[in-house]
Amino acid sequence: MSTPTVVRPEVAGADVSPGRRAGRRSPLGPVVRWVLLIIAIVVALLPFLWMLRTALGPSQTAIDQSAALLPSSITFDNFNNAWYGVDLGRALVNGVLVSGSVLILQLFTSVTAGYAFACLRFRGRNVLFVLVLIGMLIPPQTVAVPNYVTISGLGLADTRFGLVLPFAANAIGIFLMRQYMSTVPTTLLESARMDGLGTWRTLWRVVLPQCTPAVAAVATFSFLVNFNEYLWPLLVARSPVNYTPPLALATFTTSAGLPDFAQLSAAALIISLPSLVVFLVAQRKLTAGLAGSGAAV
Amino acid sequence: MTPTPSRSRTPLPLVRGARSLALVAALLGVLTAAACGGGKSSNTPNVTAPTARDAQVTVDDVNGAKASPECAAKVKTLRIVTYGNVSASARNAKAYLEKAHPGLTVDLSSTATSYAEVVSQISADKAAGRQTDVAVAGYEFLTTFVNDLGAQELSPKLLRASYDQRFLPLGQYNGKQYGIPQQVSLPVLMYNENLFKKAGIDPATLQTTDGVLAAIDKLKAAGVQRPVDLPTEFGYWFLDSMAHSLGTGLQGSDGKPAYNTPAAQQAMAFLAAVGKSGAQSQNATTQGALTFGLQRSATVGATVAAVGAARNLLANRGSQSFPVGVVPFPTLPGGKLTPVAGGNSLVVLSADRCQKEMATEAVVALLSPDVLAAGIQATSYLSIDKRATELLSDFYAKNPDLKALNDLAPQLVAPPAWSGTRGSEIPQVTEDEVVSVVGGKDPQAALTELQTKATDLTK
Repeated sequence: MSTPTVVRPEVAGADVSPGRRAGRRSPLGPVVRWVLLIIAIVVALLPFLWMLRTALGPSQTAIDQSAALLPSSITFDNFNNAWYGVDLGRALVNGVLVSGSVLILQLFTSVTAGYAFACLRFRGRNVLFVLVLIGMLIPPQTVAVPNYVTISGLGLADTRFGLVLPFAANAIGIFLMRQYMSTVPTTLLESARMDGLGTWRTLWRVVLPQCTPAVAAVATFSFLVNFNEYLWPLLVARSPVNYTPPLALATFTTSAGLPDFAQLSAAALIISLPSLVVFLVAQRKLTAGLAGSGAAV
Repeated sequence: MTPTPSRSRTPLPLVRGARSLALVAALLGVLTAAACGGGKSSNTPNVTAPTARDAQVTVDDVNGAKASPECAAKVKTLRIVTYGNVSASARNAKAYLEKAHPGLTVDLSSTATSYAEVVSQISADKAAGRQTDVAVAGYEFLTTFVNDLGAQELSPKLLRASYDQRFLPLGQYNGKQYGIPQQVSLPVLMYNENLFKKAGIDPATLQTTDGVLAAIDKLKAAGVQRPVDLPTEFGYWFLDSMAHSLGTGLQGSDGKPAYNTPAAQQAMAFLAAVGKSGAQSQNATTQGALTFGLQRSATVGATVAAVGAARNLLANRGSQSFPVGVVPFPTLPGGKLTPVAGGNSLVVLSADRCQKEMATEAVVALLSPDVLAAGIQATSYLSIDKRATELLSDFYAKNPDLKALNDLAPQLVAPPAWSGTRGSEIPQVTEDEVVSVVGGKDPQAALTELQTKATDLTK
């Protein structure tokens, strides 16, 4: 059986009628749109560019009064100091390992649970789904200590596995997958059954290929959220060997004196790159996934 | 089954693959530059985020400080929870203890960046059955450590003869010594001496809030856009210190909130007046001290611990450098200087006899004069040890005004210890109201709300 696809309506901007499109188009429209877009881009990118400028400049010029757009000289010392000062390389590896592991686990649980809620009929399905929705409403801070008690009881405190395990399932991921899978036509599922596919094969060979945007959305959110998680690593990762990037970054700050902004910027730049790459690579699917699941983009 | 490939798909442009490739290349480039950019050491001085140097740790000069041989043989792990600022000192103590007691592992947790995070970590550990032996307790959390986290009473006899006993009350609760003060700070005003000379202001007039308001007018007349910056992060601290100058702080002698006193009203009115003079920072270091360092404000409210770092930073800025003066945070008119102390004390949390002995040895190690001196050189807290003061003779020769602040020890008062399970929220609630007041809210209305909220939180 080859992979089937289904027709979905265009999601955004699809209902612009030809009549509207043809008439009353102001020549100023595109200009205004471009100006607004450029302003938005500058506002969004300026902090990032400033971080880059600060990271590449000498430490002293990070808080220079002249505040020139370009540093007086280019140096990689700040990257070097940040890298070795708090063992950022190890923290980065930890961050990628932990976030990657969480991502894989969350994808598995979100896809299977979403499929069950969307495509399978069983007693208590709606009640269970409501429980999942309630899970979305619980602030993570309130479950941090109970989770820590459990993880410590399992002997996993101050381990990478302890950083991963509590996030193996994610209510928002299940919700997104369920919403997206609900749009898969019933006829397609019935056809799969008539072709002799069982539940698992229907999921992997029929439903999942239809849901790549939702999978991309869940994966991207999972990676970004967990890569930048602070509270849970603060409780669990006590040894420097288990620090994740946000913990390593926090060690730059002190209650007295200023942080070294140049090193801080260099460290922030380094740890933001994996997230940036993941987001930019997945952004197209991410938007489609969120739109298709009915979640706000 | 015949598939229907009818879902509209946007073809992947070639540029997308190239973009991803470029991003990955950029990532690898930055990481390579960071990892290989010149080896492990660098000559770039870190003048803004000082770290304490390696220091000499000793406990032999204190009778009874060392754990008994029986306990030294029994204790295999000692757990110390500290936070970033103290971690360099704690590393010294860890190295000493592990060398002095072969077989002992000191488990040092120093990821917390605030005293509240230290409490969170220890609370979580306690809930999970993991015992913390030694901790750094912010003065405002001492009650929590005693009532909820099992802080043990300590004997002042374990202190060195050189320890300045005038600081000990900061570690007391209900008349018992639960904590030994390790770092002590007080709120100060740092001012730009050049701008003050230009405006014709005598820094001695900053002793009272009236003097500060008069200085604001003179600085404005001299063309200074931002005469005084009192970061709202310290709003609770400033408010309490000012209120104390007229007798009672924000907590009455009965332990209940006292936001409705004339002193509190005057203090909040002062913050409102300063707010009207210009924008106020939220964060004391990354905003307040930075703005001051860039000469965009003439005066900044700060902790005394920031003064040394600020001077170090400015000393490295050549023509953009300027002399920094420091005075204690002002009193209300007619008030007596009674600063509320900031900082922390060392507490022992283990009740087991041998763990407690080893924990006590760790506390004594952390209070070694050279360790304290190294810490003060990095962050200019008050000196709590006379021997450390001697070791800091060069430092104090350059900073005589900081040495003079050590003499305020008898006037220091501990921050409020709020009761109730939500009492620890009061500082944040107060800070939020201070933000509103400097933003234009009626100070009297803010205090009325604060009195109600604080009363509710202490029930």
